[in-house]
Amino acid sequence: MNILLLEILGWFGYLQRIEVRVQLILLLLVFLGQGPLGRRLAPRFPPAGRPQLVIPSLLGLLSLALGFGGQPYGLLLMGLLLYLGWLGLGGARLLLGRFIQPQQVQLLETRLIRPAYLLTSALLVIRVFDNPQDLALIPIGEWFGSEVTVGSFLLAVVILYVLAMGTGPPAQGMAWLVQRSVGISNGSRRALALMIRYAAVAFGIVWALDHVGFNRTAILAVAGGLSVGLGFGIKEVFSNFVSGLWLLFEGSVRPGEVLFIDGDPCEVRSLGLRAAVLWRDRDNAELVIPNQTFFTSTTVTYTGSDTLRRSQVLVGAAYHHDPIEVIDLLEATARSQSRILPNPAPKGLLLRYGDSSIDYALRFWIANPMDNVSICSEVQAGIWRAFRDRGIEIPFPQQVQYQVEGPPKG
Amino acid sequence: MIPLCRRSPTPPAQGRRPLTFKLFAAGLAIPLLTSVWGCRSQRLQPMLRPLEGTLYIAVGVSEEALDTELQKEIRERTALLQSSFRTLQPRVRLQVETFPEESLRNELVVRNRTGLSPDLMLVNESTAQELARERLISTVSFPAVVLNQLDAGSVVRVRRTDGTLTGLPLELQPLVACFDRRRVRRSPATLTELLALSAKGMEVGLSLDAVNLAWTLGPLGAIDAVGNLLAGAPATPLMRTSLNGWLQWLRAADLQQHVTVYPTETEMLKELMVGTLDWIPCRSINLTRLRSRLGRNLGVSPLPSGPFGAASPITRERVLAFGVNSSPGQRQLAMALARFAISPLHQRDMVLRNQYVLPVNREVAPPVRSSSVVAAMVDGRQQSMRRSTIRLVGKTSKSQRDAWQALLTRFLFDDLSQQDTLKGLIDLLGGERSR
Repeated sequence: MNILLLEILGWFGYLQRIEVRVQLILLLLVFLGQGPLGRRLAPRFPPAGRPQLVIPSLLGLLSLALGFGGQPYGLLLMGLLLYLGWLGLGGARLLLGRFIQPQQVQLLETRLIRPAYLLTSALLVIRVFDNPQDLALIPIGEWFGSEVTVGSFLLAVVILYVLAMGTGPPAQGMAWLVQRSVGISNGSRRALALMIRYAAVAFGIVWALDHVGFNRTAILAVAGGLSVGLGFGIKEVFSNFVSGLWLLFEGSVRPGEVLFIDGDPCEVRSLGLRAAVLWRDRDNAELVIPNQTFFTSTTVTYTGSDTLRRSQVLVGAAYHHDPIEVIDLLEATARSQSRILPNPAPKGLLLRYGDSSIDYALRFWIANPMDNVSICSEVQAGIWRAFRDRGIEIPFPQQVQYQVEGPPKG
Repeated sequence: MIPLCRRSPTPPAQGRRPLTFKLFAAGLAIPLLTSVWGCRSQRLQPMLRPLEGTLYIAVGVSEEALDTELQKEIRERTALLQSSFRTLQPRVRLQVETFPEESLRNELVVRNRTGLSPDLMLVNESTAQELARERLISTVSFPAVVLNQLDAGSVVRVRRTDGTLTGLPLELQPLVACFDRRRVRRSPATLTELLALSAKGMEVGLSLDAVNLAWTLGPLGAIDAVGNLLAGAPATPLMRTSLNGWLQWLRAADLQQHVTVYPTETEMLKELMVGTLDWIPCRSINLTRLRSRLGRNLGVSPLPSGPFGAASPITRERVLAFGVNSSPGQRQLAMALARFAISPLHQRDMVLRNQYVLPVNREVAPPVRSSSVVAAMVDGRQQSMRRSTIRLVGKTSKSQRDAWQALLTRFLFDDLSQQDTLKGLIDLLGGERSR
């Protein structure tokens, strides 16, 4: 590790050279000075207010000037190219947006593309100050009986990061292929994608340890000892992780499933290592629920064996209307709704004789449990119109209030 | 249901730019301010202050040989040089980088444009010549009193027509025979003996690399033919006969069950270290590594001779070349270090301590009586002093050497007949010159 630090500190020795200092000062001036300069010049010359125009132009001009003067200009040129590349990532985002959903593009960009660009840039910068291949061979210590070099360690970290962050789309693609060939449900597809990701990351960890050269026996011994400590120390985390895996295999809480949480239907968005994220339609809230909650408590799901839901609306009609006629009308109204399934057929029921009305229930089946509230609303509006057209009265209790004179004063 | 994909209210790049700029600016400003402070403090120093600063040294190594072990070796050698040099200049720090010598040219093209080229480069003499031709390194002058101490031949080879030097010769790395004493009691003295021992089970490794295989040309009578062809002479029947004899021996050796041909020396070294091979020709610089693995079982001796004379190995001459971007202070330091590196004190220390190179300083006599390894290296050096052998290095280009290797590989794999190989060799050695 000391060698690495000394090596990095040694780069500052290049500042002994006037050509290097000039290039770095110019870079500094361009990146720091473009803001105040742009603000001052923008009222008279609007393009001066756009850094994406000013910085490349200035760096390009300065590089040319130094080049024509026979002076080294590579650092300025590199700054220019790296800046242009950074700007170019915006274009890549637009291009990807045509093929991938915006949310996934954002994840891909922030977790994979931009970090990859920054890493590449860092390597390019290091390349001009030092030899990355040479740096990679510097040993940083002896772990578990093997010498670990900077290169093997960084490569292992990068591979793990890429596996953890970048295996989503390929795993989803593989799961999609399985779905197409075997015909599994959407929930199973999502679960399969998640399991493929976990498997890829697990293999990645094993590979990384192997690549770094860790002694496997030592790792097993340490893991055995640690597992006891971890079992006590962070047992909740492990409990949630194991619960998550179990739930995936069991299939009760998979991404895409619809669960009832506190009386509201919620869709499972993701099942992570620690917690599941559910989306609640009512208020667009995202609920983060530890996996072991599902493992230890009753879960109501509408998507266990199928995605159908039987729903119902209640309505009252006046006593003087024939219940058969009302029930027929209710069923006809339900059949006229496009989002209500024709089979199983909607069913009207007389529930009871209430205080001011005969109470009916209209039961029907819908395909998407998350649409329940909006479909019920449509059905109730349809019933109101149908009752109005057929002159069926919806009674409601009426209250008459009498004001009683108080006792005479004095 | 709302769509799954919602646009983030704040795009990821927005709002962060100022922070990035600040970090970037801070990263640049701190070292710059430090350097400015350093300049001010330097001005306060007396005129006769000792030299100080960081000196960047690039060491060119064979691409396939670059690994942690070699890097460690190079760092150790540099640390040794630094500690010795610090007795004279205590405020000097050496920062060493290793580069594949094959890609040093491209590396320098980039580095020179950024102003970050190394101050000193330890490279083969032929590499220094190529770099100087492309003006990627600075040529230098040293007083005659300094150059007179050095091996005259080495100085002649680095001297340009304008009197300047492409670099300062530093060390000599002869080619010797390395073997495992546990299985080979005595290294074969002749090529016939080599094949005879191989027939009895001694595992022999040969490299097809032109520089490493050149030692077989002399004993088989082909060295003059190669030298003359490189000098531009037309091919004569005698040349053809001698080259044919050499090719026949190569074919005969390759047909031996216990002779294995490798593309590079690095692979042979690894095989010798793990015990797969028993005898190989090896560059003296690799003796440290071989010794660390084989210990006392490592045998070193001169390469075998043949019916036409002694072996004709090529001694690699390592020179210190100078970068183009050094500040005046760094150049002064580099010159001082180079002079120190060729001083009898350091050269003697270098030879006695590790016994992996020979000195270029004539005032340092290698201890041939006390060390058989040094004696073998000196023999190797003397064998390589033949004019034709020297020409083999000086007059061939890298592409020519690569083509040589490709040609011989095809020949040994029966992809080319002996006649076609001979014709190819003659064209290759003669043609490149005329271009």
